[in-house]
Amino acid sequence: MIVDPAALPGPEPVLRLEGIGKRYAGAECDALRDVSLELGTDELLAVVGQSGCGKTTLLRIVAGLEVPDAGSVRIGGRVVAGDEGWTPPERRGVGMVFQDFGLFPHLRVEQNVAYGLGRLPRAQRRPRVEELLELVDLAGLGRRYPHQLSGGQQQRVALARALAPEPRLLLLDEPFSNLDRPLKAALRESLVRVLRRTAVPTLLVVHDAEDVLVLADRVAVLQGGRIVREGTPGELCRNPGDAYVERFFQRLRLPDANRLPDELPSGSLPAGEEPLGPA
Amino acid sequence: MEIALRRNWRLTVRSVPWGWTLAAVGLAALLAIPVVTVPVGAVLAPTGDAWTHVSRTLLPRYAGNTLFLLAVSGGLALVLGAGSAWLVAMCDFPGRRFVRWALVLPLAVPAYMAAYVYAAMFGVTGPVQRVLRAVVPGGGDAFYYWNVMRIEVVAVIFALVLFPYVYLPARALLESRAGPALEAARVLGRGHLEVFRTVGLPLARPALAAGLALVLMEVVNDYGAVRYFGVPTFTTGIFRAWFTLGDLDTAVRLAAVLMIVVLVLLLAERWQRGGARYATKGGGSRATPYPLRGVGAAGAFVFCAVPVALGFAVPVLHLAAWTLRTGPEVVDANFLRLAANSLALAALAGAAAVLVGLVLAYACRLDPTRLTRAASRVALLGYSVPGAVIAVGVLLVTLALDDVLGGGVRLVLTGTAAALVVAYVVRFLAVAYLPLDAGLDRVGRSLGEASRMLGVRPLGTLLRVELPLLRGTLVAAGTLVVIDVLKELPLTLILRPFNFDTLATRAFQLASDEQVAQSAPAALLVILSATAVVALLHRSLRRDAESEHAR
Amino acid sequence: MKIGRRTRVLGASLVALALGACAGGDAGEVVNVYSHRHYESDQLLFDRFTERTGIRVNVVTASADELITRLENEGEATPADVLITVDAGRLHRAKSRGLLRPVESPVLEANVPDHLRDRDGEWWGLTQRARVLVYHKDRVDPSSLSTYEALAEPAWRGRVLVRSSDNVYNQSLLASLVSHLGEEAAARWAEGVAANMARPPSGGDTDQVLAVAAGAGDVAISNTYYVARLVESSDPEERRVAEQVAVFFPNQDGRGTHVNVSGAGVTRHAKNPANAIALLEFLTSPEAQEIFAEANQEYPVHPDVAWSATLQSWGDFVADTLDLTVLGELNDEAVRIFDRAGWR
Repeated sequence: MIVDPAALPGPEPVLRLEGIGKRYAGAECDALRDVSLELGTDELLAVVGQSGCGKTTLLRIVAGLEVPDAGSVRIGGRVVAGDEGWTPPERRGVGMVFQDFGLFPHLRVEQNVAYGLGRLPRAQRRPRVEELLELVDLAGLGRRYPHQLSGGQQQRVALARALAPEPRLLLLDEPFSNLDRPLKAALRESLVRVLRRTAVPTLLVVHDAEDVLVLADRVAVLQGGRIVREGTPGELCRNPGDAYVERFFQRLRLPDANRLPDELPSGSLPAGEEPLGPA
Repeated sequence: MEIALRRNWRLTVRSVPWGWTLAAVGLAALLAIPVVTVPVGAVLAPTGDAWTHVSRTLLPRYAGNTLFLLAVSGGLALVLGAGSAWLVAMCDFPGRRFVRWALVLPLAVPAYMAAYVYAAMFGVTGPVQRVLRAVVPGGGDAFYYWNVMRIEVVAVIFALVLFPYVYLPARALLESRAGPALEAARVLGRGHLEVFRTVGLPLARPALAAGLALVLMEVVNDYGAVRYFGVPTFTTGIFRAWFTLGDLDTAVRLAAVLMIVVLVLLLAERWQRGGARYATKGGGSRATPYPLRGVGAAGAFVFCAVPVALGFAVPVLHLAAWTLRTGPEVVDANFLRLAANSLALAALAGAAAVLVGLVLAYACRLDPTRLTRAASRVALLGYSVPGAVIAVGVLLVTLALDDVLGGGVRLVLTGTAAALVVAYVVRFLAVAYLPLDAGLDRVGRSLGEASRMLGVRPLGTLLRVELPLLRGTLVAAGTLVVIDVLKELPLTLILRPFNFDTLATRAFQLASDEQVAQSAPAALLVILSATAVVALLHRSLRRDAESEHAR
Repeated sequence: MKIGRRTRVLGASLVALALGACAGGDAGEVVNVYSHRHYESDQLLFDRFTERTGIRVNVVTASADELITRLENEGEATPADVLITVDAGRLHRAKSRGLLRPVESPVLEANVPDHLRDRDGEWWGLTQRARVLVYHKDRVDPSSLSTYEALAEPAWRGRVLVRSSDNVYNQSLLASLVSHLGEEAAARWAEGVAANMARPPSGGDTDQVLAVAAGAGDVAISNTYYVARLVESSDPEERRVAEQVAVFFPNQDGRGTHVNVSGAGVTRHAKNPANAIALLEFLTSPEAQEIFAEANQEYPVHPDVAWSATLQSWGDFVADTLDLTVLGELNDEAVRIFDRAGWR
């Protein structure tokens, strides 16, 4: 869904995976085989699939925390993993929110958020931190320590921290799996809002169909280590083409089996708000 | 169609954090050199008639004595350590809380110091006889001869000061991970002893095996106690060949034989563990304790208190009494400088070991491949090699290097404090590494990864994320090395530099010179320092656990 | 991690200590001594030397074996100027390995009799010690004692106490026997004594004497100063023990009792040779010799210095005047004989 008609996707996708393969010695996980994906600017792509580690592995390969056995990863047009070269995670400009949030327990919230701002001149750090805390609705909680916050608040700090250095790309690993159900809906909403405002291209791993519908512009289904289906949530809902995909969206099936759930939550910005971050 | 996946080697090679990996491999290689030099030197050394003489007349005796010591000390340490751990973890009796921490204290007493004390205690002019003569009517002139300087006694002494190596891991295991299983067994109606035999012992086997291995390695390593008691072992043989006969080749050969003995021990321990990785993770709760009453309670207390008394209280009190007598004559400016030397050296070695251990452990995490894991294992080898052997190895290396660097001037490296510190690190790295490794495990992977995703390089991440969270563990690791260095004798005797004595070597020299009472102040200082460090360790471990709870 | 101020201070002081520990500090004249002796009275003597001459004495104490091995390894770069041992055998070993240098000094020649110094002037005796038999007054008639050789006879089965063969004093004694009696006879002697031992060797000379007093054996072999120390001990219990035993000088009808020296030499590569010689001259001077005699119950080498009261009470004795060099030459042989004889 395009927010600002002027910001058309550029010719080069922010992220391009080509033929990614990864094999595990332990074989508790499926290997990844020949996975190819593209993520455009201002797009949110959800990766779904059976539980196993394939999805997380894919994310970690993009992040640079794992090395693919085959294929290449390009970010912003440049090869970060492949025959032409390797860029370690700290130099990829990729933000990541981990499943367990990974907040630094010995640092305050504001210090956590400021952690990645080393490049920013000192004077600009504080304002940026405050800006982000406000964005995630945690203004005023900067002096607290992570263990003094609720689960939902911790997730938002993790998000703020990842967004602070203006990453080219954002990775979210099952952002809601550590939270209770009732919390999810509210957080989902707030997540959508934040992501739209910052307009940062996002790769998201989830296992809940509802999350997909609310958040994603496109979905990729990973099965047996391969991408078996790809498209917008609407397309996949209407036309699963695969037993797993069908089951996945089954929960959302409305009484009228053929009716397209075209009333997706809009997720668009409230009028008057400007997108933040790289456009 | 399945296409076989082959790894992209070029990419793999590029993605390795070479700085860290090479540092780890380099350090491991450096630390392994002295250890490897010994067997290599033994093979290359010419067989002179010195070796023939030694192997024919002395080797069987060394072997026999060593085996006897291993069997008796090991067995007794096992009984004391496992038994007291069981009582403390599974039962409740008056005084339990006291003995629970007191049972660690004997670790602060080096075996050779306990040996001097006990030899003197039962001697003709020792306190036991004095009291007897004073107390027994008509016994005023009786002098008794009790031959305590025998191998059986030294074996018991070893057990008394080394059993905490068994006690600590056994207790940790019984108090946490084994709790639920033991609880279940009891609920099913099994009697106390049966639970111990059928559930407790098997569960505790890995901990017991690991602890026993440590005890046996310490016994094999000892020089001071067996020398004082006149028991010839491999270690005394090495000293004798090297210094008395001036025969380095024979010394190297003996050192190599000793290494084989230790290797066998380690293999046996690994086989016993049955591949179960001995994890230091906590979590799990203590089973509800059996309350003991009456005779049972008294018995339990006595069983736990006696090793503490014999392994710690008696030696310390005796040394204190001697110190009161000879203190004024012995404690002077020289003595204080000696103490400062010892502490500085131990602190340096501790810091070095922690640093090296950190690099190795962190490299294993940054580059989790077989190479870095092998590097760690190799670096830890030194702990299983007796100090005398390492000293010989370091000596061979420094002599060789001096030849190359100094062109015949043999003082560039040989006999410097640097060589000594390196030797300590080779010997005691494992002591620092294992807690650091466990600590990094506890911190987990994602914090470090989060930091890297935020643009901070691995070194920066280590400094800003893992280390602050591991402060307690760092202190613990460092202090463990400090205790071991303070107590260390054989390696220090061989490698110490000019004008440099440690408290341990001074105590040993004086006692060997029949000035045992004069050796007491130095000995006491070592033990008190070690005790203080043990107390510190206890507190810092507890603090670490508490901060984890807060997380 | 911010390195806190406390940590920085701690780190700096550690480094300073370490450097201080390693460095020497060498303002002014020094003499560096490698010594096997650990007696407090030695420090007294060194201090007095410093008072007299202003030369500071740095001492490294270790066993002679270690010191000699170290000297060999250090070669020309050794900082040691003086080597002091407690046994002539080790002095000879140092000489034979080229670690000492010949010294010419009329003072030393006057202070130290010929038979107590090296003929080439490479080492000089500082004190003498005799290796005597110590017997229990109530159980042994002194007339049954005669020679070292007699101790190997069956009459003494299970009654002899002596320390380990690891010790230089025994090694030198056996070396003297090899020299006087020949290798075979000496080997048989060692076997005989080993068979006669009341218990396997353990402890030092003092322990043997204590064991005699306690009835574990009837006769012990010990150096004189250990016994004398018991007699003069500040501990009443030790004095009581000393009262139970008496001293016998063996081989008085023949070659004499085995005598050894504690001595010193100047190292070949000494950096302060003049200071070293001055120290030796001081240690053999009557003033220092008196202190050796009184404080340590050793026999002085200087012919004009009186013995301590205890030593005098034991009377004069015939001493073996065997060339002490022999003790060193035959040391390795002695060690092997001990091993083969089973004398632990």
